Amino acid sequence: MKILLAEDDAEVAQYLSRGLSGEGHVVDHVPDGREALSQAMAQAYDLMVLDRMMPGLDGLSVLKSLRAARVLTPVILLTSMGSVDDRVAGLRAGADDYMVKPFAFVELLARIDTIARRPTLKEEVTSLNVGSLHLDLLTRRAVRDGATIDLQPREFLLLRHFMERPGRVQTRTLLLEAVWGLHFDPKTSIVETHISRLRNKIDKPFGCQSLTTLHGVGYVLQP
Amino acid sequence: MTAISSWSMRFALALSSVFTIGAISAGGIAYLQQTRELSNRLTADVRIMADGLAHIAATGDRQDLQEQVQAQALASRDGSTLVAWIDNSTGEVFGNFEPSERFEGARLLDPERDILRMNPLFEDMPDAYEAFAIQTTLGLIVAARDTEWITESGEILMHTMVWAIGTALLFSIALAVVIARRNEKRIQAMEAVLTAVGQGQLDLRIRDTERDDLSRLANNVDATLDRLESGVEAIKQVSTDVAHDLRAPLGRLRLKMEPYATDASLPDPLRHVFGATLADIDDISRTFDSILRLARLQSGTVDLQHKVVDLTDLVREVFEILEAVAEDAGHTLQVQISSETALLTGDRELLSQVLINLVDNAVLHCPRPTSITIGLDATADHIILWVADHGLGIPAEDRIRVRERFVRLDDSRSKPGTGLGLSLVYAIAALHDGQVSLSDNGPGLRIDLTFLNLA
Repeated sequence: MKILLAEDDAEVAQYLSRGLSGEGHVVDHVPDGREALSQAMAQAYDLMVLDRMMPGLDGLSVLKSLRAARVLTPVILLTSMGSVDDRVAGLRAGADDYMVKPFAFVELLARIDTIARRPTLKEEVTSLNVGSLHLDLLTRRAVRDGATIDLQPREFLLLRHFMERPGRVQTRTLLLEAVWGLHFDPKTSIVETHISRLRNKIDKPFGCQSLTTLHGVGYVLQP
Repeated sequence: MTAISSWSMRFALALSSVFTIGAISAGGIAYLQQTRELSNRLTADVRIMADGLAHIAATGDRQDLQEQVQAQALASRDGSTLVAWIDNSTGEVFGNFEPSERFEGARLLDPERDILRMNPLFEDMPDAYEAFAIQTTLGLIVAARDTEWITESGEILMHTMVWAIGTALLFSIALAVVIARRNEKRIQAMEAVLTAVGQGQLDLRIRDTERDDLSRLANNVDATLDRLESGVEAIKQVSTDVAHDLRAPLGRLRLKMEPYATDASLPDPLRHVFGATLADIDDISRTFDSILRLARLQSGTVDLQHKVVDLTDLVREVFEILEAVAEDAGHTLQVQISSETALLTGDRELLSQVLINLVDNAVLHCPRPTSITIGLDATADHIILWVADHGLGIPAEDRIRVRERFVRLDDSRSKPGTGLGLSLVYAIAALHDGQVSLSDNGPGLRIDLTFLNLA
């Protein structure tokens, strides 16, 4: 994907550019809001990553100007302001997603994935396969090595989320949003509890370790 | 009803009634004094008349006395003055009337009872006569005058007074009401401003332009609101600045460290060290978020999503989210909803955060196994959202303290948590006009959140 990164913190910009290029994206970096606006108007991008607090023109104003000019490129806002109403303000201004610093780079990747996948979601997918694991989206049952696995509703949503993104690290924040619809940190072990239950169903009985933990980072379903 | 419940209106009405009572008493006293004075004068009058005739009688001239009596009787054809001489030698009565009884001195005569005959008979008989009788050597002399004009002048006084008091009373009530209304409006304006400020519209002021005690109060309130607004602004600014200054380096640190935590070429123990550091960074930023969030909730500087929330849904949802967590911690979680719907206007996310927080507290702090219940009761006036457990409870003397920031009771220091949870619960409840109460669940702890039922 061709990505425009607007970030005034040079160090952060460098890490993000390097990381995104490493994932095969093409990244243009601009250090302030005015340049971001003129660059976004001049060229077509698949995605923009905008820092909310930038000198000159802040990210939210850039976003509003772009949307007013009918530039509909998907935008992910990066911010140091984490309260719920800041998120709501960002989404209202036309952002597609919103990330609070400090964030995990893998989470940015995951959110970019989600935005990139959007058009293909239209296709009717009725089942998913990762390795020897099969998930029927209609009966909401999983099958491994011929054995049927019954799933509780949240376990099904969790497994579907992972199976749609094999090999991609998923952070706790992402899972809380995607599976439970929680946009705040409930400070409970909901995610840990469900991951452990899911492992007991899809991995343990079959002697495999497909759903793994990356300490301090997140979880990943090995392809 | 609001008119009577305002102090200025009550004051106005009280003042008017005191004025009325005073005016009526003064009028009554004036009436009594005037009547007494007039009747004294009348008595003096008839006495002088009787005295005059008694002087003639003293000369012993029967002829002269008879002529004088007849002349005076003739002079009063309207019956306002009566005069009589009862000759003691012949028993003959001269004059224009005869009393039914012989008497001496002053007396009030009732024409029906005390007058035997009158000559001529008058058409309009007065109600009473003030009379004076003197015994002379020639016989009894009686003079009398009617009291009609005393009654009449009393009536005139009464009429004048009723009109005067009535008019004055109307004016005073009207004036009082006008003044009271104005004060009431000003007080209502103050109330409206304070209510709106309480709900977060910090830039509103009363701006009373009069020059009296009420305006001094209003100006003082305005000045206090100025200080409040700048204080709240400062909190906002500081929290934004601190947020940026703290989050930016944490963000850089995290981005630098993350590749090592995911680098499969590193030995596991080393990778885990990086992972644990990332987890610590996340912990710091979470605690920091909680502090900022609490500050903003407590200062009321959050934009609440005011939507109608069905708490029965919310309770079921939180139950569904946390059932597995409670179970894996060795507890059982139950729901007890006693009403079909319980609608509350508020912020769904904040409310579910409160409930998750309370249940999670119980899961963390209760010795396993215990049963934890999320409950919802609704009456006509109140909605009560509660969480009860059968754990160790909180001693009565600590129940006030736990609402303060960072307060953690001794036995929970070893457990994860920041000590901000209950403060957050109190702040969010307050934003929804709710009350939080902690009680003994015999054994265990029960926390009630009581909201007004406005449905």
